[in-house]
Amino acid sequence: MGHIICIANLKGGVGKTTTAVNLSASFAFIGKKTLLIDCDPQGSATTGVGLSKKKLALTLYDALSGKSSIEETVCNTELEGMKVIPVRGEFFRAELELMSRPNKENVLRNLISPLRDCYDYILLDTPPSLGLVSINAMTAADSLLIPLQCEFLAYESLVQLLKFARLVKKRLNSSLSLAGILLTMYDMGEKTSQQIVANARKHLKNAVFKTVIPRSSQLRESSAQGKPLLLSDPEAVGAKSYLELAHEIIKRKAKALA
Amino acid sequence: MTKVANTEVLEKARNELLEKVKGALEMKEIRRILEDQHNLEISDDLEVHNSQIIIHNNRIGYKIEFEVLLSLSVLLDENGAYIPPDETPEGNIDQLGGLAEDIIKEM
Repeated sequence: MGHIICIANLKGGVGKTTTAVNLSASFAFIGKKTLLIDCDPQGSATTGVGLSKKKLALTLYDALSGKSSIEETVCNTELEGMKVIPVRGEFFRAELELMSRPNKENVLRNLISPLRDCYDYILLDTPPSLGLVSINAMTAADSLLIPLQCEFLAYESLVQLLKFARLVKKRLNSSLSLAGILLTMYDMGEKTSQQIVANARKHLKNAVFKTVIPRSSQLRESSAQGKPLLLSDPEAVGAKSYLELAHEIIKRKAKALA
Repeated sequence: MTKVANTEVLEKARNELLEKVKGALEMKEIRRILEDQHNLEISDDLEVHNSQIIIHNNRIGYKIEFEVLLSLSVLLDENGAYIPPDETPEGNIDQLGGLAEDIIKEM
């Protein structure tokens, strides 16, 4: 049965979509069947894997509103083993759509349950807000991965998100666990970055992944080019970091099951 | 004043020159310079807002203005008073780290 990872943070620009796209690609690269579901109305993950929103036949919103099955929305990517369920602008209506549903927090969980057995990993890229879409993503997920930008104010949003996740776990999804906190945009030459890493490791201990994602213009550019960095430059530090993260997650999961 | 050249032609030539200068810009390098110079994180692509020819050290130069999308924060306390950055020491981060640690233990 596939493992569902929700990638979330209240702050925008911390590396959620970059992580969703590049981690999905890394899982697929090492032979894991992976599905990336773009749950953010901005659709950055959709463009980040090279899909043109204008040319999309069906999106997550079509499945959500009952116009299609979830299976029909799955698209191929350049990477064999990596599929994506895209979104485009109309997904901004998703919050309203969900609001009117009975059992509104479990809509996504029920929608994607037929896909669970088809993939080893299902990743959910979420918007930087605590609306119904994010609630649905956390309720559907087995674990939560939190990208944490290496800057002081990022900690504030981390505490808020963790409080929220704790509430979701208590009320809606008792199986939700913390996959880990991923330090992103790390600049080894910057004192602030070093302080954040040291503080996170001191307080959050094993909750923080050993893998740290460096600040990388190549990662930014690969998003603009619509390709995971692994496909455009597999030797890049950013690409290797995400491969390392994929291996670390697999190891942690195996350890948890043992 | 006696005109010795066509104004429109000169303006067209100046605009064409500035367009060529814009086309020659190394945007990656400019982004890095702006981020380092102003100690910030630019969220989106840089867009040229305006450009003009200037004189620098008695030679022709170019001033290129960019529009950037930034992610910035302002802190305020419970009474609505602004908290300047130098009043948020690492002790606050330690406190937040401790809070996060406690919540994670429950998960």
